Amino acid sequence: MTTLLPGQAAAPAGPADLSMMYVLHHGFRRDLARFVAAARLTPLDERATWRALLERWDLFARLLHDHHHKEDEHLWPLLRGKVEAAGDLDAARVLDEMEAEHATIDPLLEAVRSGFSSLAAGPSPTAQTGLAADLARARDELGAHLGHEEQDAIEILQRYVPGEEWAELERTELRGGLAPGDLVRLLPWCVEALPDEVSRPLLAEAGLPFRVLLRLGRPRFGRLERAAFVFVPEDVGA
Amino acid sequence: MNGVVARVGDADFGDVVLGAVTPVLVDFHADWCGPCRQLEPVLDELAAELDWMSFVRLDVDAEPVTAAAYRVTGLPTLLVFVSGELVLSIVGARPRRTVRELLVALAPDGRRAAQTA
Repeated sequence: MTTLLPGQAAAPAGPADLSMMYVLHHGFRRDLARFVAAARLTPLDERATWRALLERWDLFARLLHDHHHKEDEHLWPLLRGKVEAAGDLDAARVLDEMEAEHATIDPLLEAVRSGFSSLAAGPSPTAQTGLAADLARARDELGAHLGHEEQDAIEILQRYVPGEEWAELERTELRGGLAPGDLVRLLPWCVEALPDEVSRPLLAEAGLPFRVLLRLGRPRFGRLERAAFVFVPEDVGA
Repeated sequence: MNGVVARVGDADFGDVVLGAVTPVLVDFHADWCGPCRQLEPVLDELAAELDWMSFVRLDVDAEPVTAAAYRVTGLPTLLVFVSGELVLSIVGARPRRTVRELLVALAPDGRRAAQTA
């Protein structure tokens, strides 16, 4: 994929196909833009919407946590072994930064969940103010981290990991272990607001089982999306 | 509200600041803070002059939640929000000219040309 998705900082050239990584990053950026707007625009007394936002936030946080966990468990250690063997201190420093950035994001996710939870329980102007501030911070910090990863960490990946090794890692560790139930939730989330020229070839390559799971998951995901972001203009996160 | 520095608190910050359609400057201050008192007349004047934005004042002792949410640790702190987004942060008392220049840079195009003169 040579086209940059909305918000994407870079796509370093190399043998590995990072399409799915960029699709996930697009989803995280899209969601945070929508959550930031929802926190500001959702009326305090719209309790059903705040409940839907809490449920939608839990989906976002689970996917982000899973993504970071797999990077921490599999990707960074793989790269660390290679850059240390090569004595590449600059690359090792970038990997340290990746892990440190992951650690700063988790507390923000907890704070945001607490804000949504409080507003789902009842109107609270102070909770809304705190939530708006925490979400803006989460968007800025995660946005900076994703940009840093795309710019520097993926450049390292492209330099050190052959295409076949990356494909195997993706198949076994990064995408591996996902049950059909997980995919039914993940796939509609992935393709939401994705440009057609990106989603079409991805789905064609993914095969029939994935397209079936996507079709199965879409109605439920669409209902939750509309319920959560009912007060958010359609162009936000598009 | 334009032209007057109104009070804002934790309870109405969402409506008055985050939900505002015009840019809003929030002056985080406290009664015991000397530099805050020095800045007060400067902001009163700018509120009268820069009529395309609103100015509000928040007492951090009486309204601690918002100050904590935006991690206000020094006084005075001026935060400017546009469409609910924090776009400018000024910590500490600054000369009138500096504050004015930073605010005029946020003005809609037509106003900026008129006010940079």
